Amino acid sequence: MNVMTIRSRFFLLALSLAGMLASGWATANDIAREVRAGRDQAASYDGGFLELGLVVEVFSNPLMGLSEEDNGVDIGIALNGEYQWRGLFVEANTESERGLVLGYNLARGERWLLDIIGSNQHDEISEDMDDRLEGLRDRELDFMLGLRSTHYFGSNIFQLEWMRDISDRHEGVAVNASLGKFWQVRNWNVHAILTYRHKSARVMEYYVGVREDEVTDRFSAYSPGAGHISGLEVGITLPLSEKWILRSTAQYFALSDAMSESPLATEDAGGRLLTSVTRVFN
Amino acid sequence: MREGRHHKRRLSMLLRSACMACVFSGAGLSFAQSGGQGAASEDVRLSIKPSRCVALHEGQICYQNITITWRTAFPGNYCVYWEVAPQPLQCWENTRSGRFEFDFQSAASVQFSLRPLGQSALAITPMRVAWVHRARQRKRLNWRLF
Repeated sequence: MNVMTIRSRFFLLALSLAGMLASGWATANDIAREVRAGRDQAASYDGGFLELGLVVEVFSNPLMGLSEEDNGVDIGIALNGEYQWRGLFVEANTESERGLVLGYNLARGERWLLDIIGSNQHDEISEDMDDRLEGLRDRELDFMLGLRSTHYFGSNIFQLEWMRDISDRHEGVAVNASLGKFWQVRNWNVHAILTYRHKSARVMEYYVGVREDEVTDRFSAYSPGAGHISGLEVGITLPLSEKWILRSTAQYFALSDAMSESPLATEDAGGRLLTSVTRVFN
Repeated sequence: MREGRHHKRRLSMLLRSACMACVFSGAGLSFAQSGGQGAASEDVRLSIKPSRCVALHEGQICYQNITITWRTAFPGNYCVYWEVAPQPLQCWENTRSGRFEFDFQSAASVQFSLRPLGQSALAITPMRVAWVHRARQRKRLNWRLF
């Protein structure tokens, strides 16, 4: 059932500031911020910006428990921004679902960056969010630490991340590769991002596996191997004035068999369509 | 009607235009510039709508379809220029007002001017280019850890 769920994300954002903002399974992507910015080189500076506004999201989640409904419409607060100081940085991007990224720039050249980053990679999956999960253990959100390498090729950006869980949730590894491209069409800023997100067997086991002691009539035991998610994001950003911008983003992601064959999966693919109006504070 | 203007009046207008150009360019006086409308005097008006173009990022080319209008007290041969090109954008013959559409494309603010053919500007008005996100100043390259 499609429902209009109006809920504040202030609590979620508060968690973000504590370094524990929930992130998405499929669309986490800091490259989105770089591509949207149309950056063609490794910018480094002290300072930042904040975009704050409202976002309307139409979503289809292929896994139970990521939202109250598998499909729906949501209205929330859009919070995007970054701040850097002497190599330390914090990035927030609710529209790419990464939430909050904390990091430190280790090294950089004209057209590349190497950062150490810490971020929540996987959302909580629990009965609190979805009654169908009754009887299953709660899968808690994690926090992963790793390296991020970003390379700029003209209007293309390639980003590679290797991250390991440090929250004792699953001790798994995630490897994310993203390729983004930016175009300017008059005052419209268009971006596209291809993503491939590999998740180790430990990550898969923790989030989409079903242990013997969890088996119910609905959920049979399932022990997956490593899996991945492939995704495509296309977005446009239009300045409405010097302080306001309009952004619309469409995201599609496909689950690998190891993920879509989980009893927690309802589909083998999902997507989101987000439209936001935000006020920019520089 | 324009063709029917009396020769004496045309001569008077040309002399007046030339005099105004001389005064405003030679004497170094600044023209009024506000809200996309500039004028050397109440007799000469040059305006742009909209007078501002907003790009997402500083340094990007900003695109805006603008309407440029002008009028003077007396008919004559006038041209509208923008500062990035020596050639006029459009010229009119023996008229005291004009209007045209222009596909503005620039990464920086520029000025448009109204000039009698071959003379100095009678009026100047700015077209402002603004942006949402300012360009970040890059620091000297360095190595932090290795």
